[in-house]
Amino acid sequence: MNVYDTELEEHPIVTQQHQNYSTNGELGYQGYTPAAVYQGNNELDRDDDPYQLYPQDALLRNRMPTAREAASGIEEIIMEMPSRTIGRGMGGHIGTMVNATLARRSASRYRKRQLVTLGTFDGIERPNDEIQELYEELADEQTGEIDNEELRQFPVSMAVKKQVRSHANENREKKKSRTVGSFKIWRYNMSIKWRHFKQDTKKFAQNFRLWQQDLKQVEGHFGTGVSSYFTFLRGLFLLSIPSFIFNFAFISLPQLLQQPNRTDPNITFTGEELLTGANWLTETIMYYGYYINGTIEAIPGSEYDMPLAYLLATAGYFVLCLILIVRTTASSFRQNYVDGRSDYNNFISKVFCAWDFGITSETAAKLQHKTITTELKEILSEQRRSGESRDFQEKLKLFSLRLLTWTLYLSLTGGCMALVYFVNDFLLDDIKKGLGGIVILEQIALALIVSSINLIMPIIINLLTHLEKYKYPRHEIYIAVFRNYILKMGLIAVICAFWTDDELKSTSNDNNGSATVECWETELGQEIYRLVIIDFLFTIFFATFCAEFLRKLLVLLLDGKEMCRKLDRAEFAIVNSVMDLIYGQTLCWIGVFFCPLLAGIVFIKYFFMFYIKKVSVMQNCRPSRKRWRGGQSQTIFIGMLLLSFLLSAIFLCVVVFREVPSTACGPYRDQDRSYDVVVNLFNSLYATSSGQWFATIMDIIFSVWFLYSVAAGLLVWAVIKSSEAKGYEELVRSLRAQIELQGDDKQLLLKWLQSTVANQNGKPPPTGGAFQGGKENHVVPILHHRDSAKSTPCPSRSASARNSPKHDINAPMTGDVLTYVDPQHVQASHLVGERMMATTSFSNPSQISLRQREHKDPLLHKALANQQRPRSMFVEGVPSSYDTQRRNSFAGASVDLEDLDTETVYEEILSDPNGPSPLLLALSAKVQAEKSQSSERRPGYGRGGY
Amino acid sequence: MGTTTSHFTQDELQEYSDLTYFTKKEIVYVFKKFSELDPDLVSSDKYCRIPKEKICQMPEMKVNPFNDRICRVFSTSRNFDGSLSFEDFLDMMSAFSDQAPKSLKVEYAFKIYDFNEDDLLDAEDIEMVINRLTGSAEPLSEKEMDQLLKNIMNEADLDDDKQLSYAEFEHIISKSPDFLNSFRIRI
Repeated sequence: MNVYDTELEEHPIVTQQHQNYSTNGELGYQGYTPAAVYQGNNELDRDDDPYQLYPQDALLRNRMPTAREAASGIEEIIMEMPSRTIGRGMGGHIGTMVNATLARRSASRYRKRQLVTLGTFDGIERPNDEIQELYEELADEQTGEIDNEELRQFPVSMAVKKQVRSHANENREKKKSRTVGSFKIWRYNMSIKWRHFKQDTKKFAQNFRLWQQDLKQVEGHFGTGVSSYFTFLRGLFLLSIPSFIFNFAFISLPQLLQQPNRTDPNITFTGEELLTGANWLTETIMYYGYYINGTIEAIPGSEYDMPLAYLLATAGYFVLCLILIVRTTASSFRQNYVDGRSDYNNFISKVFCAWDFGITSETAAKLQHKTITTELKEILSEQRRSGESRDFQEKLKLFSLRLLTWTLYLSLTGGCMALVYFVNDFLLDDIKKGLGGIVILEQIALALIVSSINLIMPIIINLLTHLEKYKYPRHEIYIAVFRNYILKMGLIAVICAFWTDDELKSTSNDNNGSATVECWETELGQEIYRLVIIDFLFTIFFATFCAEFLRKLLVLLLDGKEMCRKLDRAEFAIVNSVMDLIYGQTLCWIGVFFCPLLAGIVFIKYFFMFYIKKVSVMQNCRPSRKRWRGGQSQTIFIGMLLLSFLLSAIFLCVVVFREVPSTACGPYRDQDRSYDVVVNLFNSLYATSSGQWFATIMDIIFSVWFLYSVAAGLLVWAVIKSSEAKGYEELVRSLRAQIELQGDDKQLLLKWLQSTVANQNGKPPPTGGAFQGGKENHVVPILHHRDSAKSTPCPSRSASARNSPKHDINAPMTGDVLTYVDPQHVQASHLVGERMMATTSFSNPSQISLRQREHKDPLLHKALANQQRPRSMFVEGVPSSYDTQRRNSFAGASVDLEDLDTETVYEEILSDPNGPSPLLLALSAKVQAEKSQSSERRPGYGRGGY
Repeated sequence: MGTTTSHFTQDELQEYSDLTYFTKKEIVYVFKKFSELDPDLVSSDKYCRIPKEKICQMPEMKVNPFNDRICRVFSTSRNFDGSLSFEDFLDMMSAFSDQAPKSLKVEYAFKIYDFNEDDLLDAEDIEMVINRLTGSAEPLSEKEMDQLLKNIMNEADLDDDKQLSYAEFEHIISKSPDFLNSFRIRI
């Protein structure tokens, strides 16, 4: 008994749980009192209090406990399991909530898992009751209908699904006869119809998915990393379609119907406008300046207020984009980030998510094998090294290095921005001097410079970041992306700031001499047009043609030469390409107010980009040697897109609300602010008598109190949601703790089993751990037969094994002898099987057919050798007082620890027609004895806890 | 497409479409792919089973280190030979499709990785997975394997029983952002 107590003392959780139990008991916490659990678990014995009926001296009187005693003993065991005491430990409601949820979820989950493994073999009709069970699990309780979505999500074979469906059809007739309120039926029908409608539209849209085959092709050769670039591109392309239609329909089309006269009719289209976006194009629907400030009456009897339409359509465009982007961001975030602590499941995702199932080419597959190996080896050696922390000198060196690189980066970025500003300033003078004599190069100079910066700087940034020696490659990527982003946004910001500068406009207002900018909105629009076009050409020419195609030619040309063995085809630069896309899209958002057709241009650009990039990738690139983990970076990219969008929206808000529009052009030439058209609209509405109610509503909406209350409401909502999220976090943590405690249950049960068995044999119980050495011990581990090569119908086997633990305990044993020994007896490993057979006194050897098997599991070996818990155990000794029949069921029993769940043990006791297994009887007797020995304050099983 | 459509009635297509994540058009396409694996056999009997070896000729399956497991998991053959009928094939493609939810994919991934089919991922299974992933060219050393297994168990094995139950596997995989991307075969 002493040993037993020491074991308990060693079990900190048990000890702690006991203390918690006592405090919560005093607080009147009812949920987990022993009686409650007892009554809830066993209706048969509800009237009998086991503590009174059966004096706790079973073992002292040296008689075997009856089944009933055993049952009550087992209940106590279950009650005292660490996992059962979790509710007490957490106190009050959370405990109840956790346990209720746990019970509900796990019950459903368990049932589903059970049903999933239904044997589903070809042509064999499943028994009706199994189908019925599955049906009941899935069907709606009221209508008996089965939702297709639910059935689809159920991992059983098509044959079973079909059977369940036909079963549902039969049952529906029966269910319908039941009396249900007509409103309820109507509501149900509506909800079902709605669901069907949603599913149908989803499937309908699925038919029109773009570029599916191209994506598959790319993914087959380059894996998900490269294909994530193309999906991103496809997303932007799809976004630009409704945007273009929206802008064209509400802004450009009306203006096309009623075209104002050109100021200079002599300018003709020469072709160079496509590049520069100037000259002839200046006075077309392309730019802000062309739009009139009056109404359009192209269709007789209708008045189309152009200024208002221009503003509202742009606002509508932004709202549309906002909805689409926020939706994508949210779903991506939900998928990839919620609770996805990346450091935490490093190894798991590197193993179980390593293989790209979509890969089709053999070279890619070979490379992937290699990549995975290298990555695993790297991460392992990294882990081994992580113990050695960098010493002070190294840290100092690293710090100064990073300081240097940051300074370098910041000065470079600042330099680039300054360069752009001064070039712009310099060019402006020329533009002011006279519009006629400007050569093309001068017009596109700025765009060329910006695009060159965008081409070269990312390379420098990547280099700098690489020099900084970040511990994880992921951090390196993120930092490079961040710097890249800052640079690109900085460049755009400089250009925007330049053209919205007040000084510029004041010169145009003063009208002194020839130095005027007539229409700064159009100028900015043209600048952005050029940036978009030149950026596209640069991407095609440098990034695709030079870096990929020419490099491939070079490789082919120099193939086999000694000096260029290291030169290989280019890898597709995912990060930089995606950054370019984000940059282009930001330009589009910024420019859309000044150049309404920009969405259309971008649309065309994306279309060509997709095909050019795809052909280039397929022809010129080689698969990456590094694995690209798309999940989280994709979320980061989408997040950056959202940020870009918000920045653009803020900029445009500033333009609309604050900036003075040009007086010579555009729909707002006679307004102080663009926003004034909306104010005027309201004013005119207020003036009309029918607009009185509208005015009242507007007054309310814009009143301070209303805005305050809306803000307060939002705040409250956010607080509620965040606390809800915290609650879920808490729940997750508790469930986790629960699982861990369940693991402790197994541990504890195992210890009891061991000491019980040892006591019954009259031998001293093993101290401390489970197995000492492998030589003298009477407890020998057996590994259940787990040979995948054997073609047993496994699903059904494992299902039955799970459903009835009996099967495992009483079945004739076929298994592998695990030839484990402790490290000192390695040479004897092949003898273990024989020795075991010799020293084992089975009552019925015919039940046992053991196959010797070589030990190949290093972990298990270590677990056993280090006296950790084994996975299963074999009990050899049988006390002589048992009758032979019982011994038969006892000896040769292999108790798989996975099956030794407290619940199943309990069920086993109650359901076994032959009476409880002696092993469990003995176990329960031991518990009873422990209880009697412990103090009389309350039932317990050891002194250790108090 | 007219010839392939006639293989199924509209009702059949509707049923398949209801039970998978595909549209009718896609189902016809999947059938085309299926019949390409063994045109003679399929043209004589559309309910035939294509043996595992032929299934493994599919480009995705050919290079996949788990191809035999995938066949095994999706096969409903009585002989456990991993042969796939069209319905099995459809099941498989549906589970691997873009639209299939994470829960379904995790379930099948668990089955695929559970080599000994005891409904638990134990060290043996995981070692097998790793060995197949790294390929035979340069396997991990025993020491590295040991370390890796220990790390995996540390991360995922919540109840400390040295095996991953389905719950543990699902729990940990649902936190892996890359899972959905990698466990996908586009049709």
